[in-house]
Amino acid sequence: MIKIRNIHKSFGDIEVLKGIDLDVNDGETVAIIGPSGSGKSTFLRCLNLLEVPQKGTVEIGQHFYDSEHLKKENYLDIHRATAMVFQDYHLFENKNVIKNITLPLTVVKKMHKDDANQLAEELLDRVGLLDKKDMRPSELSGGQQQRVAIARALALKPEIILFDEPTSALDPELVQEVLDVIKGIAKENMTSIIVTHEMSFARDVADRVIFMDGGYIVEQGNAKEVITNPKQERTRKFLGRIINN
Amino acid sequence: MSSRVIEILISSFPKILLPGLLYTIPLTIISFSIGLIIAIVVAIIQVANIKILKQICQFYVWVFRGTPLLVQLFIVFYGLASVGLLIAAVPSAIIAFSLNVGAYASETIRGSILAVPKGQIEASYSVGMTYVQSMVHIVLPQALKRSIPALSNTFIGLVKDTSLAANITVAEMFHVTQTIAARTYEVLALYLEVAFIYLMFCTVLTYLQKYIEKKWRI
Repeated sequence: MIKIRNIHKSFGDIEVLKGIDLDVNDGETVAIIGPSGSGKSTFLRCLNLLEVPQKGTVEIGQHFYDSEHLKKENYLDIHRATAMVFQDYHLFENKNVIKNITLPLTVVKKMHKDDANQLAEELLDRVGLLDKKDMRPSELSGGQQQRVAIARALALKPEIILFDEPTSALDPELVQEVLDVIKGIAKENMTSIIVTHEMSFARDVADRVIFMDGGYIVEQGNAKEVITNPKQERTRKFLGRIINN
Repeated sequence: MSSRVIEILISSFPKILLPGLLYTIPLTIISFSIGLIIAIVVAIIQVANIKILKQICQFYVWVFRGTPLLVQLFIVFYGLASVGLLIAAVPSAIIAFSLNVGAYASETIRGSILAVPKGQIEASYSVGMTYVQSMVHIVLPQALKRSIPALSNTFIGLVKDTSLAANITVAEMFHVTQTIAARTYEVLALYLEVAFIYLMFCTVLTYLQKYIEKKWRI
């Protein structure tokens, strides 16, 4: 269970998040949609403390932080409770594909090298990239890199996976292969939050859709309902723009 | 060119090359290795913002970049000897060269550490690495790789700078050349010859740099 309360985040004078509350159930897939600059990514980055909110609390299973009383050990604890898939993949450039997955396992989780390799190969097989395990990240397409990044996140067995616009940097023909992998994860009841611009994907895969605008959650509910039949005017306008494009 | 000059050039060639192999190259490699270790430590201390140590490192870089290498050599060899701290010529040279290289290379490495993309560091934190783990496994390897072209510059510069050690009685290539020139008076020919040998050394190193850059895909 994830409980997020009253998250406020400003950059200088600009208030990006103006009090966000959200609960996510175990095994739930939540999609966050909304216009650019609405604070979606910032919100996601607050959940794993890559950004530190000025106010608010986050509870992820047994892990907890209060941004007004942050302790040094909160960072590591929250980093380790979560995993993130970035828009630009951010695979470790100095490591080959399989090492990208095994390094966190051996270094952070102190897993034995053989076990880490076995797990990594299972996951690479699952994302369809086992034959690429010895290649450098730069030798892969964007879609392949993102699938490796997802495997890296899955290997950590986190309480929650945070997807930050996982397909936004991809060529259109590569989007589907990444979405298919994420769809598979959602089916397996991995708890996840996905910031996305893929409306049909959010509708079909997410259990719940959140519409954010201007630093607030404007509307949320059953994925199909919010996307096909939004209640709020702002949501309707946003979806209208997206779908007409 | 008279046959006498040619004869001197030929007979002096091995006499100059040998100290090159015995002094110039080892002096360069040892000083550079020590300098590189100093540089990495100094760069990390500055990036990690460790109080007091950071100020000491900044002072060190300021002093060693701001004073001539020749003066540094003289202070270590002659200066310290005059107050009773006697250090032999070769160790003196190694101390001065290492500290000098360390100061320059630390700035190169510091710059490369700061140039590692933020996303790489965020990714390392997001998988749960500590600051030290992120530094050791992700940031430093990438930074050092990026530093190679600039560090090669420092290395090749050092090969030539070792000639300054002639001034503190180290019997390296230039020192030997000076001795032969003083005896034969063939100043121009001999200094051109030693210049040629330095050039050959640096040519080999340049090829080595190209090879490493290709192999590491820089």
